[in-house]
Amino acid sequence: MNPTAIEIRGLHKHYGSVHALRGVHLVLPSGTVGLLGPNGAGKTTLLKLLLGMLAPDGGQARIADLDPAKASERLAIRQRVGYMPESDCLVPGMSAVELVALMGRLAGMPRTDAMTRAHEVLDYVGTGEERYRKNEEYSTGMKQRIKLAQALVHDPPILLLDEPTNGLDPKGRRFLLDLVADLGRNQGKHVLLCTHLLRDVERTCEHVVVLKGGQVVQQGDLADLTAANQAVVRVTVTGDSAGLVQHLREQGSLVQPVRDGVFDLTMAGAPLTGDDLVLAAARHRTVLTGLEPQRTTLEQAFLAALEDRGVAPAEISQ
Amino acid sequence: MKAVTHTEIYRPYEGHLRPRPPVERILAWAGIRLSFRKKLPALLLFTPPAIAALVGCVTVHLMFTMSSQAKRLGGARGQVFSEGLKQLLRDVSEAIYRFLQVNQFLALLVIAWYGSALIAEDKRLQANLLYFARPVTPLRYILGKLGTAAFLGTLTLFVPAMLICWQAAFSSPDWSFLKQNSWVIWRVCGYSVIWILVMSTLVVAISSCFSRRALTLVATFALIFLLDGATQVAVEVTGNQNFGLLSPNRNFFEIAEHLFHKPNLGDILLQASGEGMESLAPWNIEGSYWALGLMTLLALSVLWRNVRKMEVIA
Repeated sequence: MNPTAIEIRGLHKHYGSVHALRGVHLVLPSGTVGLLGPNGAGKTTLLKLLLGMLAPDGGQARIADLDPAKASERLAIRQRVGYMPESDCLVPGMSAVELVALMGRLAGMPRTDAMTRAHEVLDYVGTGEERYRKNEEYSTGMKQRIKLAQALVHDPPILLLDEPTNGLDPKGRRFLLDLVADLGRNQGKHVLLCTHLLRDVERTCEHVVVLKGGQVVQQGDLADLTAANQAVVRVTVTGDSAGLVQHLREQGSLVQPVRDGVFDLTMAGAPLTGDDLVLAAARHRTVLTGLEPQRTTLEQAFLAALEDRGVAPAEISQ
Repeated sequence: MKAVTHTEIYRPYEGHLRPRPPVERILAWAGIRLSFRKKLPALLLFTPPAIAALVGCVTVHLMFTMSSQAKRLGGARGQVFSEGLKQLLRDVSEAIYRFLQVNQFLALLVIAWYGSALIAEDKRLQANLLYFARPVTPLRYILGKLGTAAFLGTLTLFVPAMLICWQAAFSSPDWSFLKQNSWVIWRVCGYSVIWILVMSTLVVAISSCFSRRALTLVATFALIFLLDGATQVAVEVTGNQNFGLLSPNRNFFEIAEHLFHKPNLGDILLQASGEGMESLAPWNIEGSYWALGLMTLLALSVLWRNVRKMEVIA
């Protein structure tokens, strides 16, 4: 059982007439959790609520067993959480090392520790001698790294990362995602990765939460969501498959050709066993050479969730 | 083969975080350091007060040197100059007062230039998301920003004035400036503190209302100078001197006149026009303190409201 890092019960948030969060319920375990959703789904709002930067209109959130809505607990939360904002918020005129050290000092580190630690985390995120340049002179990729470094400087157990790969080239994106994966898997951090990029989540996360219109429409372990789907199999045959395909369609199954001699079979009603298919193929003078259950991709699970076709939300195992 | 000078691994922090770090001091110091990064504005803005201070010091020194030489002459001439020491000390006090009057305009330029960016730039870049993701409360954030503005004001108004006072103390014969005119030093301190507090608060409050430095600068000068002009017009049109209370500059003028033993404008008007003109007389000096106090309170409430919104969007 994983300890719970973040717990949210019935959280509501309005921006004027816009209902940004509609009773969000979440129990997020430790490890790396991907918060997925289209633009305007309420991802950033949720992160800000967790940091106490937004006041909820209803419901309750707990992060590191503290309530961000209470002013007395908000400061303690902010010492235990590292936040990487989406916006380009680096203070101009300062160098990266100065900014990261300043953030460390504001988090409560002594001056010398903050400077040493700033260099360590900047090393970790891969900024070389460029750390001495002014913030306004950095490329988008460097800015993202510096933003991650400032979130890490006080070594918080929980990291809230808002669109960390925004505007990055493929190489930079891979590098940053490797860092996020390392933090979650090897450094024992609780990472909440907020993004609309499915591949980022697939690459780094163990758990996924899908938000749509301010509501959780899907959540679960990534492995469960993308588990082998027994209802769909990829069939490979040699010889003329037209007769077999016709036969399967007559039985009510959905057949989608992939290429010559290969098709995806979605079985209707009771699933056909391998033996049934071998016999059916033999009857239609073809030889069955391959039978492979198809995995649901995260994209399929995500789209299904957004179209309200997904599996009923299941609480993540703790 | 590429040399590897460090291993890019994550190292946990083994120290302890202070539960209540001195964030206001850290923010203020960061703001001060940042202010001096750009050399040209620093050169343009800090050179005039430095020159003024230098000229003031030299002037005061020459005034006392001449007096000392006269004293050394002895006899009737020396007696005359010794008797004139009181007048000389008054002249030195007047010089310091004049210096403050001129230098506060230069200090306003400095506070407006640097203060205008303090919160407006944070808002523009959303740097508040970085600050308020740390254990920084709105009050301590405000104190940090005010600290930066006040330090720069101190550097351009208070420090040069104190340098002149120091020069006067060292140059005066037998420490007569310290013995007989120490009130000048205290009043320089008092006036500078009031001026720096009010102006820093006004500028930082205006900075919190905008997300562009240029807008803040325009608004600051509009508030200070247009308000001055508008109150002047209102006084001229209505004949009611009390409109002057709305002008920060006018209030500072009244306070300075009062602190340095000058008759205030009301006395001047009464002297000029006789008893029948009492209705033209401005307020008591307490009125100026109250007016500036209310302006500061208003600015603080605006500042508090805006910074609270930067921390927690209700």
